[in-house]
Amino acid sequence: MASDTSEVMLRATMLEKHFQMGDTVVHALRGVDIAVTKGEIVAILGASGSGKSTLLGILGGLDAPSAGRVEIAGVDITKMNENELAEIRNKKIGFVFQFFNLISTLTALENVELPVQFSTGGQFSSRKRAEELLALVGLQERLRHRPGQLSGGEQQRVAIARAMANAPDVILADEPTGNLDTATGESVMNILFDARRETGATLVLVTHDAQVAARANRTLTMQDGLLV
Amino acid sequence: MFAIAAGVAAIVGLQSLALSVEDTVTNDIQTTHQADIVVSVEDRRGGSQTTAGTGVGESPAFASPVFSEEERSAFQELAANDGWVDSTYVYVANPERPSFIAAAGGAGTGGQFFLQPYLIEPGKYPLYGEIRAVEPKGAPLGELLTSPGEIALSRSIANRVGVGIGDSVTLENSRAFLVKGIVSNEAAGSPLFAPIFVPPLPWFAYVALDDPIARETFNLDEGDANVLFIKTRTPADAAALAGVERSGLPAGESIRGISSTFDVETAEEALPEIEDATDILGKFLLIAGLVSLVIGGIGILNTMLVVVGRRTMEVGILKSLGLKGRQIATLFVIEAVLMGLVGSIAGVLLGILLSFALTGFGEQFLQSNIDWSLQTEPIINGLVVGVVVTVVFGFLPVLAAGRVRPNVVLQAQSSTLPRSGRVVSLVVVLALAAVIGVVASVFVGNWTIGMIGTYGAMAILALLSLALLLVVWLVGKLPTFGSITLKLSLRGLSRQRGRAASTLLALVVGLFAMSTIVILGDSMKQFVDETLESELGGNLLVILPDPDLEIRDQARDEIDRLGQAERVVETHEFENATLVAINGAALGRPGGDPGATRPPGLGSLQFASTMLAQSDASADDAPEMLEGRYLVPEDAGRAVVVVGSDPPWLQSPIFGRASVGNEPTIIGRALVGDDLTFLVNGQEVTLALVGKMASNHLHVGFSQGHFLVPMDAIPDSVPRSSIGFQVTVPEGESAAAAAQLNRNIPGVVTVEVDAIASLFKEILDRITVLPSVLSALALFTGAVIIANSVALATLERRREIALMKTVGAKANKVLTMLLIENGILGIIGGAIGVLLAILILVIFHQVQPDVPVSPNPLSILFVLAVALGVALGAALLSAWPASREKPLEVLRYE
Repeated sequence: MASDTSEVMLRATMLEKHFQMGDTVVHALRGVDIAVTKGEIVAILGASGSGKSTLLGILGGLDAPSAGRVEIAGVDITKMNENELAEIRNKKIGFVFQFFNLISTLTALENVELPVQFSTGGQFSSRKRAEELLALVGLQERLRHRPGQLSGGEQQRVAIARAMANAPDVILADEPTGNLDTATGESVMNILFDARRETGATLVLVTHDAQVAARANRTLTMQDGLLV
Repeated sequence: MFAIAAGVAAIVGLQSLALSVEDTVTNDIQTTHQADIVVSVEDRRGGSQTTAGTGVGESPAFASPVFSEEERSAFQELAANDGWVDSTYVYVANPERPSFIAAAGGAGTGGQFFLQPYLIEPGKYPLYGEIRAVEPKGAPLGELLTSPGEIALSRSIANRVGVGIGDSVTLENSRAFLVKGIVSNEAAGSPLFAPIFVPPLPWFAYVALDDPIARETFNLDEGDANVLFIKTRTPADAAALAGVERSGLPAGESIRGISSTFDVETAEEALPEIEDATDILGKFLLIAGLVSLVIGGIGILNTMLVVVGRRTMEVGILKSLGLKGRQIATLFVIEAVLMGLVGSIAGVLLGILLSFALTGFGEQFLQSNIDWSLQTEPIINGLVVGVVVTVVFGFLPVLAAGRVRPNVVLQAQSSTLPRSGRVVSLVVVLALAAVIGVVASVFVGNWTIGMIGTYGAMAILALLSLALLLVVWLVGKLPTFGSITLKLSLRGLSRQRGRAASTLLALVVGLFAMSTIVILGDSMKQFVDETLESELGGNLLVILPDPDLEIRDQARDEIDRLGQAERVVETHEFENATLVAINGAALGRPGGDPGATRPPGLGSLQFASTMLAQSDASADDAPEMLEGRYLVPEDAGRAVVVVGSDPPWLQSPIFGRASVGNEPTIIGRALVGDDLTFLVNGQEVTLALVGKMASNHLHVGFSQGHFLVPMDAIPDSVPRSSIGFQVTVPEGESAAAAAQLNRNIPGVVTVEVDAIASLFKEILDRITVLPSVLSALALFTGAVIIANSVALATLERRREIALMKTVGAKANKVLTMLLIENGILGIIGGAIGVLLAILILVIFHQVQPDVPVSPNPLSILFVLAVALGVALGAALLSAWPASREKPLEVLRYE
């Protein structure tokens, strides 16, 4: 658990999530408590199906819990409506996924611009910000390329730049190296950690990779929907 | 599946309607024909004849020929025949010119309107079926007209005149008739009064034939009638009585034996004509249904592409387990058949409801009641065609599915369908077109038309698709003005260009149909307006009851007395005028100089329909002249004439040639300055030709003649065929002026030109109602395709939508993106549909100049608004739920 003296950026209390799959009810989360302080890097390990990605999704406001609450910078997001959640995802959170999840019809630059363009009253000029971030991840030469024209590592770097676009408080990364070879994975992680250091954001990442987990301030393990 | 259901519903609905129409008119042919035998008096004017009112010296111009007393006696004798069961006489008033009705006693709108009066024997008419009033509801016609001076009006004319039950009306300025009932507009519908496809006038009235006031109104003597309906025991009796060849009775003892001038038709004789007409209607509706199904087929093709594409992984797994491409294709074909079957069953159910709903429009179009019934033929057709089309259109994607490589299993997220190869695709498309051609040929009943039509339609669709692909590509290049939503919309469109183009195609077909109907309807209405304005040149048309110069003088005085006539044009018509000589040289006539034969093609120089018009229309608006000059006010009373460019032979150098030996010699060609001698109603009149007009038509009032002469150029001693006035009074004064003229000049009929225009428009509305419904149906199918396409697009783009939401896009933003995308398709589809319709109509206009093309900007805006509405409405159906999905649900399972 994080020390009480630090400012808590992300807190989840008694989180539960149940799915109906056919005739059976799947209990993906069964009362998870977690608190992550500002600037902290937390790695979540666990077997497939243990509930890691579900937890990450709920922490990021992508899904609603069946029970419990989630607070980001002290604000309860579980009671928010869809529009308010979209605002939180846009301004407070950056996501990095295993399969990059870039929009195939947009160029690297346009993909990174997207969150800035969706934000209302944002602090950045979308084009300038996107160019800066793509330069930060080493893709200044690939601005006009579409995802299909980029390698896996490059796509993940675009995804990292996109996650940083609105300078979020929290970055949530779901197995960011899971679809990359070891060398590329390491390089991507370096970029992710460097970017986090630059912004001072809180980073929660789900991984199978012990080496990646070792670089975190704290490692948590999930099993059958519970943090153990 | 929705796309299949929509297409099948169209085919089942339309074919059921066609069969119901056919059944209605042919199963009960006597009701359709109103009798087993219908005998009517042909127009025998010009020879010895009997006309209504001949006994009292009334004018023959407004009366119709009637059965003579001898003929009626002969009918009575024939009625003793065992086969003659019943009969009833009808007098169809003034079939050659409309009658007029006006409200009386302060009721109604005050104007005079056209109508067709039927004088019937109320207890007996009609012999088959019955006419019941809509007001008072259900009252039989026989109970409405029981006393003299009673009338039953059609719904439409009652509304037009503004009268109801208990009000009074006059016919031809008669004594008042009391409105006792209102019947539906469909009551008069029958092949006798209205051949199928020519909707009858919905403005009609029934009065009793033995009503003295009616007889006085139409100058009828007791027993006068011009139509006889006969009910017989059997069709064979009808044939015998009618005098059909080899039917039993000697020709002299049959109806045809009574007079050769009768128009006699038995129900059996009328049947083939009616069947032909309904058959054409049936094919027309069937083709409309097939078009809908082809549009539906495009939807099926799209659906199968997505269905198979999304299951690439499944196909890969099956292949990695050892299934061959052929086996995979079989699996999908079975699935397509099942999909086609379920979709077709849904379509059949929908189609039955649709045919029921369409019956009302069909009734309005045909002005006749249609007995709706459940038909098995369209249901079977719908099922067969639905399944065949599904398999046919689903085959290409299935072919591609068979070529999926098993290694896709190893590559997560792969859902790209391999291409089936250009040559293979082309061969398959041609083969599939053959299958559709076979289906179409079976339906149309003609192999040549079916196959050529199908391949022709496929070729046109292919060309149109290519053009639309180009359009979609260009749309993708439009500037986005920094709007991310617009950018995503345009990218979305250009990502699936094929689908966007096929959706557009479906829309274009539907909107083309709608635009054509709307523009054609508009053009016709505008044409009517312009024609009436240019032909009549006024807002009141005054028709004298007789071409009597004394009444003419009285009318002149009354028009003067109005004090507000801005322009008055007086027209005199002379029917049967014949040009007999040019510069005194007689034109060749049959029986003349045996050596002088007229050149072939000219025939007789008698031109019986030619009319001479007398007018003071020599006003400012002189028409374009080919030669010479137009009439001027100073010509009044002078023996001069101008000639129109019609007939063309008058302008031709060979006019008036006669042969001397074998060499044709010009003996007469009308040149400006020549004296033309006419034989007008038995008197010779010589007029100097002063000008030749460039226009094809020389209209004065409703008369269309070849010659125009100034006022008073024809001596008063030459009898006129008719006399009328066109009067222009200030806007808003026409009703009062018409009422004043009607009141003060005995027997005169004054009609507001607006009433004529509204008559034409009402008829046009009726003609266009069914095509409009069909085009709406095509558009509906297009809407289904759009809904289908958007559903597919959103299905494919669930991940993209979830991603947009993940990075902060609100649901409305996503919805806006999808709506913009489809709104663009709607607007473009509408614009192309309208442009194509205009193009086709302009081309048609070149071939057939009588068909006007003058699109109304408001109507075009309407079509575009419909297109946009249809596209947005259809898009909203699937875009709304897609925009509301939780991102994690999609990201986790997609």
